[in-house]
Amino acid sequence: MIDSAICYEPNPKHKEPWHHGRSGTLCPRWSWEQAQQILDQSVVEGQQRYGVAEGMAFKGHEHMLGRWHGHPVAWNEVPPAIVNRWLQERRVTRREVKRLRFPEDLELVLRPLR
Amino acid sequence: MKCFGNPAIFALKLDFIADPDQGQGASLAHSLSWGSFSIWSHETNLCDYRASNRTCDQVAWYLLPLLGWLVRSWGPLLHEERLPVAGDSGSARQAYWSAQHRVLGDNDPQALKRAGDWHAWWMRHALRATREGGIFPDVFMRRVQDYIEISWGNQELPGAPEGCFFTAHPGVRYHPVAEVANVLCSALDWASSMLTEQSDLPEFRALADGVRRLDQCSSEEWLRWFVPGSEVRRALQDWEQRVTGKVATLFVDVRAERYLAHYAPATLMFGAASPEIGMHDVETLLQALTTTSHGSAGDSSLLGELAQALPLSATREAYDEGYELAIELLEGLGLPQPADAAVNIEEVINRLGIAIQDVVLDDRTVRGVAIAGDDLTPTVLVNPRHPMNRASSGRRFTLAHELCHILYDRGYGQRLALISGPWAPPGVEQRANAFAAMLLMPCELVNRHCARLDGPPVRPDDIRMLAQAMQTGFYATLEHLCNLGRIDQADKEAIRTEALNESELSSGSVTTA
Repeated sequence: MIDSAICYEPNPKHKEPWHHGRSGTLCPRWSWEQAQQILDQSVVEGQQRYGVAEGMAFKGHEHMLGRWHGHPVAWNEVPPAIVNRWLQERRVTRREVKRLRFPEDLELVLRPLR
Repeated sequence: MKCFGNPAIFALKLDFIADPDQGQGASLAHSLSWGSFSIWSHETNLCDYRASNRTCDQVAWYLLPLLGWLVRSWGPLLHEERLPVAGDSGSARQAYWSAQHRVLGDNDPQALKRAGDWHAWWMRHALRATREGGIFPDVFMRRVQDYIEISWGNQELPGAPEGCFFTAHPGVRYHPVAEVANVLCSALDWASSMLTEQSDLPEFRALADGVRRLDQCSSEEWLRWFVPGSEVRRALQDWEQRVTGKVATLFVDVRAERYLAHYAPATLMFGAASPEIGMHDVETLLQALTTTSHGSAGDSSLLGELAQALPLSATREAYDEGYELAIELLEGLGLPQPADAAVNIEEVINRLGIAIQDVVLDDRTVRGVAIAGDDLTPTVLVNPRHPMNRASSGRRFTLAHELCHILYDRGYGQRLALISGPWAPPGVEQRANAFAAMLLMPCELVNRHCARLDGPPVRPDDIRMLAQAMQTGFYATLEHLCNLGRIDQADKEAIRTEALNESELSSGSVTTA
């Protein structure tokens, strides 16, 4: 269901290029054009919205009345009931959900620069 | 940056700076709350990260969501110990990710419910629940007995730059509650004051109101996070009103200004109880607890020398630590003696001045209870209804396990009241299990008895002989021999399978062709 009252307005902190001390997690380039559609088809949970596209989950925040920005989230950050609904609607596969959930404790293969 | 606490112990550093994007794509309140923070535990900066070939020692993001989360989650962060399900993983973080792997993507109604419970728990205890798009460290915080457990790792974040990771090696640390709570209190006071001075926005006023309300919270509001069952809490209140004198102190939680600094022994006991504990068991356990405050209370001089509050090690596995503690104790007691075939655990416990008492509980998952304190007679309660305690070997293991708690899991005032069961803090239980195994099966005894074999113990009969000699269970002995490296994993599995097959054959459930 499309809600015409909500409008996507990007937050530059989620757009490339990534800047130290300024950026958060970045929306992939392919999602820029789909952002309004992702938002329109998103699910409300509390004061946030959750959307999905290309096997990736997004979370939306209303920073001003009717104006929303979003960013990618890990699958564990999405309420399980919403994940289950998307699985049933075949908007995402179990493989995609589980792949992004597995914790990756990255080994320090390189020493920090200082 | 403003530093609250001591980075060598626990600290939170905060700073408010100008939003580099001048409020684009953000609410005014968010933009004005732009700043940076870092969290320190024993000189480890949990916010130090590397990305795009540079390191950064702080996280820069909107601070309002973080501050609001600290206020909303104050109760569970500092008081909630139990996880959504009973588990055997070490830290809260380990338990969470282990659960995610199992339940998510599973549409079974029970799995969905567990997934929902875990998600709600994550919202209360995970720093990333508040990130709103920022790159926050993968940090969890919760109460464990008289400590705050901080655990961290490096789960990937979608949308983080290539090669981005937090440099702190995954780990867990335990801090006395006051060490963490006082730092967070100071930080919240300062931050809410800074924001309200900057602007009269409703979001900032709401934050300041929330901080002020922390002073007005009743102890009962916090207690419900540690002992969620309302009937159990009511029973504790009833007992508190009935008892007098020294016994009454068993029911008094120690309150600081905005948190419960130390739980009373009666409270501690039910923190690890099953959520479905029946009132018969509640009354039985409280009766047993109050009995320990009668007569000559306190540790014997020998026990007093040995007992300590030993939080789980930050650098070693719990089972490793348990092994070492058992070896140290045996050496201190001069055991095993050259003529010993087995460790006489009852004699060890008696020598330390610890009482042993059977207590019949309806809950068959409770193996035992350890009670100790300056004003309590150190006591091990054994539930004969637990399947393990029906055999003497299992009962011996329970006694050794509870002995570990009495020696090393003391809290405030040297107090301890811990139920050993599926809801007990997993790391503490793992340490106690390893301790018990090594205490009952030290290398000297294992070597002594293995010398009677023709070769390595690779047959079920070999394990049976060793178990009988050391008065331990078959599978506990098998597991321990593998952990000691006397047999390898393949041998262990082969022996286990062979023993199971023999058991099925002898019971007639399987017949040969």
